[in-house]
Amino acid sequence: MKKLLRFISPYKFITALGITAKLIEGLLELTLPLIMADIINNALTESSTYITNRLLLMAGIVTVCFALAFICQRSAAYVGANFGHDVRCALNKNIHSMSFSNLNKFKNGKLLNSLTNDITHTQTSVSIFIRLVTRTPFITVGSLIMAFTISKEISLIIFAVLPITAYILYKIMRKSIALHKVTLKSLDSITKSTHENLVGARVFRAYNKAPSEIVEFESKSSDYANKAIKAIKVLALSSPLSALVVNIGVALVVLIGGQFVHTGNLLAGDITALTTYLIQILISLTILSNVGIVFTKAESSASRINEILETTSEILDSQNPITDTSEILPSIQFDNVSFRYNETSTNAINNVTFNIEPSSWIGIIGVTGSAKSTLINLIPRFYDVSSGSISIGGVNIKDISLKTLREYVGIVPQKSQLFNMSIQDNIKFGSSAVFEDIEKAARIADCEEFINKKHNKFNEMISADGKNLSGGQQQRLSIARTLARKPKILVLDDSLSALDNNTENTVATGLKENFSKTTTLIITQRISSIKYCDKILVMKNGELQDFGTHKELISRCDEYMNIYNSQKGGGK
Amino acid sequence: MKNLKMLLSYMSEFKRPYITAIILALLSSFCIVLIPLIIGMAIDLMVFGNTNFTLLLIYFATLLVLYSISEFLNYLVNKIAGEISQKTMHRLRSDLFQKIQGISISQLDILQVGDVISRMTVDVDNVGTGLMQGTIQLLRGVGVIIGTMIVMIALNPIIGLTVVLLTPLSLVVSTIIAKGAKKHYQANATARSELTSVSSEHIANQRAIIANGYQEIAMDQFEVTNQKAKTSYFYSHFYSALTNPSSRMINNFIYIVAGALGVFLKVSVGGISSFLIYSSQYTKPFTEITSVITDIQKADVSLTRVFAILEIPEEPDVLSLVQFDKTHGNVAFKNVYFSYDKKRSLIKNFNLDVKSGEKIAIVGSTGSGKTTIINLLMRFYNIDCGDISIGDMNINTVPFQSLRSHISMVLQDSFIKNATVYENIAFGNPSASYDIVKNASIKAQCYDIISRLSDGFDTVIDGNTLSKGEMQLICIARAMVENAPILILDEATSNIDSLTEIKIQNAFLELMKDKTSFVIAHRLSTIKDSDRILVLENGNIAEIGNHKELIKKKGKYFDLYNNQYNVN
Ligand SMILES: Nc1ncnc2c1ncn2[C@@H]1O[C@H](COP(=O)(O)OP(=O)(O)OP(=O)(O)O)[C@@H](O)[C@H]1O
Ligand SMILES: Nc1ncnc2c1ncn2[C@@H]1O[C@H](COP(=O)(O)OP(=O)(O)OP(=O)(O)O)[C@@H](O)[C@H]1O
Ligand SMILES: [Mg+2]
Ligand SMILES: [Mg+2]
Repeated sequence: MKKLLRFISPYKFITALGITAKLIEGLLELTLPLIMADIINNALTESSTYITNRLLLMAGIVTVCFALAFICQRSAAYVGANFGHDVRCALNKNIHSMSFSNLNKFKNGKLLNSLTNDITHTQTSVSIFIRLVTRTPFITVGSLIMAFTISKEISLIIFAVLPITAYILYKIMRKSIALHKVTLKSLDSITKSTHENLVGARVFRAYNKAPSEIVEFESKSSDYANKAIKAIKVLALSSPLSALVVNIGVALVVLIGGQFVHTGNLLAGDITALTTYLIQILISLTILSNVGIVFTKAESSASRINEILETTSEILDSQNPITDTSEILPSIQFDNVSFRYNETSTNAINNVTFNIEPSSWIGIIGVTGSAKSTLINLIPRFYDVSSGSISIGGVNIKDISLKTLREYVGIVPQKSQLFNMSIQDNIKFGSSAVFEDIEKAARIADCEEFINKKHNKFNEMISADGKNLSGGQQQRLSIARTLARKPKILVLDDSLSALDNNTENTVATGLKENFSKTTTLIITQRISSIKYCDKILVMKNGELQDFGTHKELISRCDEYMNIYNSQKGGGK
Repeated sequence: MKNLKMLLSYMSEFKRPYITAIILALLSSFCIVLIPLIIGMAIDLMVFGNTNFTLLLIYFATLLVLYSISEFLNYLVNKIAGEISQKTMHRLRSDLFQKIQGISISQLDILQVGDVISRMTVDVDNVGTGLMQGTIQLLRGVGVIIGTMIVMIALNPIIGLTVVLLTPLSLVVSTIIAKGAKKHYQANATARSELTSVSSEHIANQRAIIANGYQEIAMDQFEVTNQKAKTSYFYSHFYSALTNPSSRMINNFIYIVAGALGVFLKVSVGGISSFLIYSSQYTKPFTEITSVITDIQKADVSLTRVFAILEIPEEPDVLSLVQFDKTHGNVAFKNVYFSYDKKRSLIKNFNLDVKSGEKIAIVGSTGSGKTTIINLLMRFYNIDCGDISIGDMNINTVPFQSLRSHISMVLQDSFIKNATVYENIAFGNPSASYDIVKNASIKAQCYDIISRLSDGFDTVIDGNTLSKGEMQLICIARAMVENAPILILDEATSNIDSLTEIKIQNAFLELMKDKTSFVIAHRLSTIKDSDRILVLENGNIAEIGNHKELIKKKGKYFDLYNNQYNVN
């Protein structure tokens, strides 16, 4: 929680206002039993106006107390709401600045739960902190002092009671914080299962997985429940145990107080006041232990939030990055590039060197898992090379600002990622494209045919993950999205795989006509799609096997020939 | 109220512990009520120079016993209440999950993933704490209040009655405030759900956001819901936080009134003490009750949201024992009509008779309805009219489980569960032996890939750790393990290189021997040898026949085929 406190600092005045209001309220409330004791002790001797004045004073105090509490609650809600908003903003921003490898590390369930659940826990604890926590020790100390003014000796009992209670509360909190952390982790896996089962519903059903998924989910859910119950069992002790200790104190005050009254050192009214103060302390302690529960949850949540906040992308802009690319030619140079996904794993790409001319059409082919996607993901710096360097138009990509670089290089990913928004918005998707550009991109990607069949044309809503489109339609929409950004370097990562031959031809021809100036990289499994490319990269096992024209490769590259032969049979 | 009734029927299995908790809570409030009485009597014993110490000691002992009993009872109540609330939450979650499995795909298409998750976690939590623990605390508080009232009236009818008459004021105030807060809780729940939906979509597609530089806009979108969450949080929390000081103010007035009456009516010092302890002890259950009331209000909002999902009707399954058996291989579509969007027809009068063991290929331009035909056969969607039968049994008359285990399929979209490779391959048959799984992965050409992973078959994978083609191979191995009488391949090898594809093709041929199969493919070389090829166009069969016949026909198929190796 400590690390999140910086999010409160913009609101420190309101926080201070809330806390002060609460403290004054507590202070005023403390005087009530004192005045009451005074009234009781003087009831027989003083005039009724004396008593009435005292009573009116008390009524005044109570009213002021309410006004102060009102201020406090309002500030608490205000600070809590803003704190939650700001942390959430920061967290979301951080997630958006994560690199691909950062994202690989976190499970979706965790990111989501942290953004929602964990923040709620911490923000509640901030509100409660303002509302209760400062007041509680204050009331305790205040009650102690008041008790002290009545009888030093009897106050010793209270002094003995407090540390014991504090110790008990401390122990219980510590134990339950640990228990809570485990519980939250368990909640992540519940979130993950739910997400997975919604997204992959068709597969789960095709394989009749419902019964076993339900069993699995129930075991996760009951695991969560059991862990939570374990934490509850510990927390359930906190309020009764502390109350018991304080109450024993009350009983002792009565017993020993009797002695004092007997010897004339105290009045019976004093004993009343003393017990009232003790009960005040008891109530604050009960509140404290309830607050402890909230804090326990917040503490566990805060450490999860911090873990995400402290994850920073290793892919950053250089000192003075280039943002103007008008002078940069769309050529690509790979110089001895190697890459591995994890420090520990073997190289996914090994010493790759090649040079691509501006405005050329390049095919990339290679068997499944030969690192074609990995290779092209290095160009817009989705991952940084482990060694070697990549340049565009002679400029190292690390010297170009990330934003510019990613506008310069447009990749159509192998798996389409569509959003629950209109067709138009899915294509525009943050680019500066105007409607004409969108229409044109859609036309080149051969989307018009199916868009025109939709009720609302470009305004038709796409379901999450593009579920209301066919596989080929999803792919074409995804191509249109990249085209609308008019990249200087265009990469199609097996993006024509779900298209029939006619559609593929239409899209390819459209690209040739409209993007002839664009350096285009086409990853594919079909030789026919890249046969006429200027040059072809042949990948194998993360290494560049060969780089040449179709003709050259056919005469010298075994890997290419094997692939070629496997497809020739089907040709004319 | 309707919610509460449903919840009560829901938690009937916890009736016993729930009632136990309530009884224990009432017992403990009984002890709590007795205590000030004894303290008062003890204080009355205290007289200068004339204190009865034996009696005082007895009172002291009684106090200790009462304290111990009541706190022990409190502990038990906390524990039981916590336990049953967690267990109810578990039931609710499980039922929600089961519901997700039971409702139709078209219903699922409408649900927002993030929204469901929000209901599954936060709302269920609210219900658990608010309704289960809340009601018990409420009853304990009410017990203390009523007990206190009775004792006060017995001690001194005038003071007692005054207090009793003033008390409802504080409850009324907090109820009014809670009512006002409800609207804000609703807004808060909606905002939270929206927030979860937005984030869930963004997080799941974060890579596309990065690639397209969409971060700024995504953050703006997020900010809109974040603002809503902030505002509704502020109002709901401010309102609910007001109940506490309001009721405290009223209680403080009661404290003053009680004291004043005590003085004016010349009650003994001990008597006044008792009253004062009572009226300040009053604060505790009130504070509890008032906070519980807002919790319950919040829970009520959440409960409505949870039940909204639980009330979605499940897709009716056939409750018969009819099962397909291995010999049921022929498949017939008769006059089938279907459309996703009822305003726009897609499949019109579709007829197809497939004999057992036949290899059917489905080709056609994208969006022509190939996947849709498969969706209908699997009953992911129900046809609008006509009928589909397997082995002369209408598929609507056989339980889902039998239908779907009768068919192995590889979907167009590779889905990898976040689990081990082994679990992903033995998906349809978790008890499959290691040999079966290993064999399937060898046939699906992914054994070598798996062996290279850090923990082999025990490596935990998800949708981001393998290449797209590798994921497809895993999905193929999955279908091979299930090995059902009917096989469906929907673009199963679209991302796989042709060298590997040929090897898999051979494995498929072996697998498809005496099996009925449907193969959808854009790479026509892979389906050339099918018994019959179906060319779909706008949901209708445009051509049908084997490769030779269709080539001879020089129609659509001929076109597609010639285009295949002909890019510019
Ligand atoms: N996030 C990741 N973490 C670890 N390993 C990965 C990750 N992504 C891919 N790999 C591994 O790196 C290798 C290359 O993967 P890549 O996706 O580049 O292959 P590809 O050539 O594009 O294959 P395909 O044709 O199937 O798309 C594969 O063996 C894959 O398992
Ligand atoms: N869930 C859905 N809701 C609404 N419309 C849908 C849904 N699924 C598909 N469609 C529409 O139905 C039509 C047929 O889709 P289908 O998925 O059957 O095509 P397909 O032949 O499999 O195409 P592809 O080769 O691209 O996979 C398409 O126009 C598509 O937009
Ligand atoms: Mg790839
Ligand atoms: Mg399809």
